[in-house]
Amino acid sequence: MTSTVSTPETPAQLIRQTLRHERRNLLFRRISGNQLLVSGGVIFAFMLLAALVVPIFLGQDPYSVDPANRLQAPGGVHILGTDTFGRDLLSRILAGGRSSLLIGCLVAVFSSVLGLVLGLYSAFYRRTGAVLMRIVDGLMAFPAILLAIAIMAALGAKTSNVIIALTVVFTPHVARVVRAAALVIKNQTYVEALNALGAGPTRILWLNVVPNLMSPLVVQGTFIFADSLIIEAALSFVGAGVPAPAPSWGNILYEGKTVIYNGWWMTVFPGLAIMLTVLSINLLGDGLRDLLDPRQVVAR
Amino acid sequence: MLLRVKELRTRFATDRGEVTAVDGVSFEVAPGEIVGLVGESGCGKSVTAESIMRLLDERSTRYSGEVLLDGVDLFGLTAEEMRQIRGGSVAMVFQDPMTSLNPVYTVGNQLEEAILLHQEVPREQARALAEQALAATGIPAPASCLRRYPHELSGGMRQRVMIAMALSCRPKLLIADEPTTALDVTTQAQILDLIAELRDGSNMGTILITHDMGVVAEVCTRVVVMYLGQVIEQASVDEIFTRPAHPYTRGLLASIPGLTGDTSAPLHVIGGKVPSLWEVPKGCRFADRCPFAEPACRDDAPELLPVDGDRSVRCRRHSELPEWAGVSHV
Amino acid sequence: MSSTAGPLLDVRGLSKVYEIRSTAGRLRGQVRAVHDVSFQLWRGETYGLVGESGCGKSTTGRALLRLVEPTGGEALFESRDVFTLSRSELRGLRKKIQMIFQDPYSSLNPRKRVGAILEEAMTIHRILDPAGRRDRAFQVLERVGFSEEHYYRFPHEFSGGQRQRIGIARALTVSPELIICDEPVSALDVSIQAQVINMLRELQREFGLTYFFISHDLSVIRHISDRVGVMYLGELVEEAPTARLYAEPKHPYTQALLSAVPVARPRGRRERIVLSGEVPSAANPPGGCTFHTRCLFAMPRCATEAPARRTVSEGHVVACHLYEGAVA
Repeated sequence: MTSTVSTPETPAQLIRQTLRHERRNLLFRRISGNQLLVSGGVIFAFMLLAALVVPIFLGQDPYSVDPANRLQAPGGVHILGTDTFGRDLLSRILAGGRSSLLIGCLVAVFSSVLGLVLGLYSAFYRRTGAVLMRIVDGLMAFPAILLAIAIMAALGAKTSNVIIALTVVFTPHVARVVRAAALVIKNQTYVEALNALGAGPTRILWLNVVPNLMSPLVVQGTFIFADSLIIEAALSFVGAGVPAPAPSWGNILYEGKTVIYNGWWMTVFPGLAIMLTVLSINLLGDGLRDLLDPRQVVAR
Repeated sequence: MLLRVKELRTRFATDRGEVTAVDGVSFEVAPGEIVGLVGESGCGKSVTAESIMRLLDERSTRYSGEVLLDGVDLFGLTAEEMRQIRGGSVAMVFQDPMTSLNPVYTVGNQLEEAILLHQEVPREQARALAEQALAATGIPAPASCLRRYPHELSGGMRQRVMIAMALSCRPKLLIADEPTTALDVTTQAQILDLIAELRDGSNMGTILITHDMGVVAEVCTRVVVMYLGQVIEQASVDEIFTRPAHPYTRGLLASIPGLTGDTSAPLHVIGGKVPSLWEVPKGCRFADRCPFAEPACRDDAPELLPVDGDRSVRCRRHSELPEWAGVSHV
Repeated sequence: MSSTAGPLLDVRGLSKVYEIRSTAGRLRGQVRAVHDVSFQLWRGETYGLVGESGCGKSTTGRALLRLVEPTGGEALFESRDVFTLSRSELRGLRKKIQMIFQDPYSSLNPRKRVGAILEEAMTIHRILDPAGRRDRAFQVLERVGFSEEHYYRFPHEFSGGQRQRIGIARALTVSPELIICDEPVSALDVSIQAQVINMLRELQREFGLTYFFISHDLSVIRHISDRVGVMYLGELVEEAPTARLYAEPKHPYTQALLSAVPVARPRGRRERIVLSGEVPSAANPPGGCTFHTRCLFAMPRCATEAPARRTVSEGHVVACHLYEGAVA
């Protein structure tokens, strides 16, 4: 693996480049050896690609209504069949996938960022922390779905509100995890050493503690991604999520509720899609956890 | 001979391959003596003790060699038989008294449990035995101590409780793994006194694992020095300090800052560092750091050979080393 | 080596009391971690503070840097009281007084390379420019025995003793005057311990450093200190030049402590003074002289009256009623 940088001139640069290569190789081996990571990654990549690329080749419009062809079984032109309005199911599932994946991704990112700030400051500032954690406890007392429904009812049915609702639901979980991890880090001697060096709180928290919080945060983020897919689907399933006619896996299930017996494909295929995606993300998360944590602390 | 360890080899299966933590260790413990197993971290002394007790996970550990307790090979016993031996004939005291006791049970409860595991006696008698065992370790008010929880006791008292637990079933062999390392100096002195008394008062044999040569001088009768999984010297305690034969032993003794002697000169340092167990050097394992090494030392691994009387050394050049002039020299 | 300009650090009456509060905030008790401790540090010397666990020596060290806020006393550094400095003035102080810690495994940020750790110390105090800091980092690393490549490595790639040396390097980058060493070798093997102690002594000579060396290990203290202070249950009970303390300890506790150290010579054991009982709790210290409950020489007076510090000979001070005749 040669870099595009000019050949190293000084011994120091040579050392640096050698170390970089060593580390890259080691990382590659660890990733490829991690079965969870690989299997989860492959499946997820497949789902993602499918959602992004396949529609181009399919040429079907997920919105075009064709009542004459409603509820056709899978096969022929409509590979997965049509729904109650005659729309092609496969392209609706793929479009729904794009929407659900985007929601999941944004929710994971927003709740991670907010949760990081909340958890970090409650770990380091005891009194603010006590107040914040009581609020977190309060929010976590509600079952996730009910809380999401309540927020959607208050805000109204729009995709962006789904993202807001789910972020509110998941931020407390991140905050808890971050706070626990930050409390451990707070007691590490290097934090005390930074204090003794004269570092201010901003430097200590953001330049030193946060990098050490990245592993639990990323792992937690993947699980939130998976959970938000499920909850978004549940929201749409009860009609409180992504509004029709925009497809989402949840609202396809919603529409398929009444025709489960004569239109089973409207339930099975989106269900499979949800299951596969969530499974792959969970595998990815577990694999990431193994990759990111214990080995880092191996001493010679 | 109470304990005979012959060519003990303990190998661990790790994801980087198999590593040999204890490589051909042999030594003996007679009744009534305290054998000090000495070495720095990573030399394999704790693993040796755990191997004798078969405390390691046998799915990923491979033992070879023999461990004969009163003639019976412990490696030949079934798991059930071994469980009888542990705490019964062989007892162990660990380093950290803070975590060796269960915080949710009283001390009395835990002592009784230890007794009941090996003796068929009614509960009240177990309680009486527990109180006796505690009293024997010099704890001031044994009866009330039994009712306390571990966190209510100091480190020294907790360690006494551990010793009482170990002694409660009158074991033939006691293995103490760094029993005083976590304690303050004055408490350490009390515990060492206790161990010395026990040595004098019974026929029990003891293996005392430590990295502190001062502790060795206080209570041990014989010393086994380990380096990177091997025994490199064995001698009586007098001989180890007056005529150490192996360069590592000498280096170790010389680098100890003592309470007497000249402080103006820098402390003696053993150059280099301990090789990793994954890269065991060919030839003598200490050669790279040894001030007396010759090319031949790096090619042929020396054997542990007897030297006048009861001593043995693993060094080709031991007879060519200069006279040992005391702790501040090598 | 005393300077005619006065001590580098003059500590008077340092106290630290921890309050134990219930969850509702009610005061339930007090722990007297450090009580009325006074000593002076002179430029270029090593002052060893020795005592067993719980005696308050670590708290004392931390209080000097205000990592722990003292509840009483003053500490004059360059004729300003450290305990009354504002937060921003304190930062300036933390360039001149540095600290090295006991645990080599958690004293370095595992996510940062060694070079970055060293440079961060300099960045905090705005020393040099980025290129200059890098050069200085290389320089200091070399001085503590590392080579260039180690700049790019992570802490977990080093052993305990090496990490401790990196910690020393970190302290050196800002060119401090005083370094507080909190049990820096306690977690290391004997032969590595020797290496680090030797290095500390060399660095002291080369850079004119002053050390405040805290340890529970009497042998280590003896090898590195010029003067020694002995602490028991939060109080400084004896202070003397090193050779004098080890040859003629005056305080009964010091005597017991010295006699308890196992000597690495067979039958080198002298008559040991065995202390009865356990160390009392700092939440409920005995009245009068704190040591009287375990002292072999305790007199009735010791239970009611705390002994004053008395000078028994030059530089040798003891807090004990046995030395009544000496000058206060």
